[in-house]
Amino acid sequence: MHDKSDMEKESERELAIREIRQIIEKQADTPEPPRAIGGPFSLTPEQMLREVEENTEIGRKIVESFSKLRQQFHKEG
Amino acid sequence: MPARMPAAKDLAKIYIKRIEKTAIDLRKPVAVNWKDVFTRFPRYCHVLLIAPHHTSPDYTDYSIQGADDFFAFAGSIATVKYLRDTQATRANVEKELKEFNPRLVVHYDHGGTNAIYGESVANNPQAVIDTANSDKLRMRVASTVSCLSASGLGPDAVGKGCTSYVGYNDLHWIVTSTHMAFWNCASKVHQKLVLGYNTKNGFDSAIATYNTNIAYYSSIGDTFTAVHLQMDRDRLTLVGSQTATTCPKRFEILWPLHEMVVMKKIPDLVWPPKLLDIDQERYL
Repeated sequence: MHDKSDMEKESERELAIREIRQIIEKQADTPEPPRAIGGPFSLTPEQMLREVEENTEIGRKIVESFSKLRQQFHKEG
Repeated sequence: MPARMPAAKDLAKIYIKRIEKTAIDLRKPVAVNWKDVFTRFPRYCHVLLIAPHHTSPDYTDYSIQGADDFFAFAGSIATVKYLRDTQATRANVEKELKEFNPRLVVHYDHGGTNAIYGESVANNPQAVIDTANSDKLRMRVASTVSCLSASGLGPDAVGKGCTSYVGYNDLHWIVTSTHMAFWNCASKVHQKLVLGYNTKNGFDSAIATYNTNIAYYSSIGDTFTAVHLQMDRDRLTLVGSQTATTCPKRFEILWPLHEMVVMKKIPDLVWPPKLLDIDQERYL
C-alpha cells in the first residue's frame, strides 16, 4: 500500500516535470521569463523545475498543484 | 376616550424618581433594537488600507499595484484611509486603528504565521499587526493578501474579538507577467465587503473568480499561472464569522436604478441588507 502511494507520487512528479519542461520550451524566446513570487521565493520556470527535481517542500506542493489541475481537466473533459 | 392620563403631580413624582436614580442604576444594560437603529441610521464604511513598498525587487513591487487598484475601486464607495508605502508603519497603523476606527482592515504585503508586515522608518519590513497587538482588531473585519497569517494570526485575532479574518494559510504566490489576475481574485473578498455583502459572499466570490481565471489560463496554455492561482485558491481561508458585514448594502448601479440615484429619487445606500438579498447568487 505504501509502495503504491510512493509510486503514484513518483509518476505525478514525472508528469509535473514534463509539464514544466514544456513551459520552459514555450518561454525559450521570451527575453525576460516570468517569475513566480511567494514569500522569500522568486522562481523562474527553470528554478521551479529544480525545486521539483530535488523534491523540496515547495517542489512537492507544486507537484500536488499540477496533479490537481490535471485531475480537474480530466473530470471536466 | 383615551386612557386616563396621569395627573401632572404624578408625572412630576415619576420624573423626580428617575433623576434620583443612582449612576449604577443608569449603567444597567438596556435592550436596544439594533436592527431598528441601523434601519434609521445607515452606517458608513470606514476602511483602513495598508500597502507598503519595500526595496525592489520585491513582492511589494506588485502588491502595491493590487492595493492601488482596490483603492481606486473602494475610494468612491467608502471612506478609505490609505497607508501607502512609507506611511505603513506600525505606529501609524495603531494610531489609525484607534482614531479612524475602521470596520474593515485591508492589507497587501508580506506575512508570517503570526504577523502581517508593513514598513519601518528605515524601509525594512516591520510587523504592523502581530499577536502582541492583534486585540486592536477587535470588532473589525480583516482581509489580507499576504503569506501564512491565516494559520496563526487569524485564529489568534479572532480569539481576541476580531469579527472575521480572511487571508492565506500558506505562501501567497503571484506570477510577474500576469500579476493583475492574482489581485483581481484576491481583492474580490474586500470588494464584496465594501459593497455591503458579508464575509462568506466575499470568500465565495473570490473562489469563483479564482476558478474562472484558472480555467482561462489553462485553456490558453499558461499552466505556470494556472498552477499558482490554484495554490492560492486552495490556501484562501476565512476565520471567524461568515455573516459579518462592514458596509451598508449598496445598490449595484444598474440602469435604470443608476438614473434614479442620479436624480436623487432613490438613495444609493440602503439598510438592512435583506432588501437586496435577491441578487446574492447573481453577483458571486
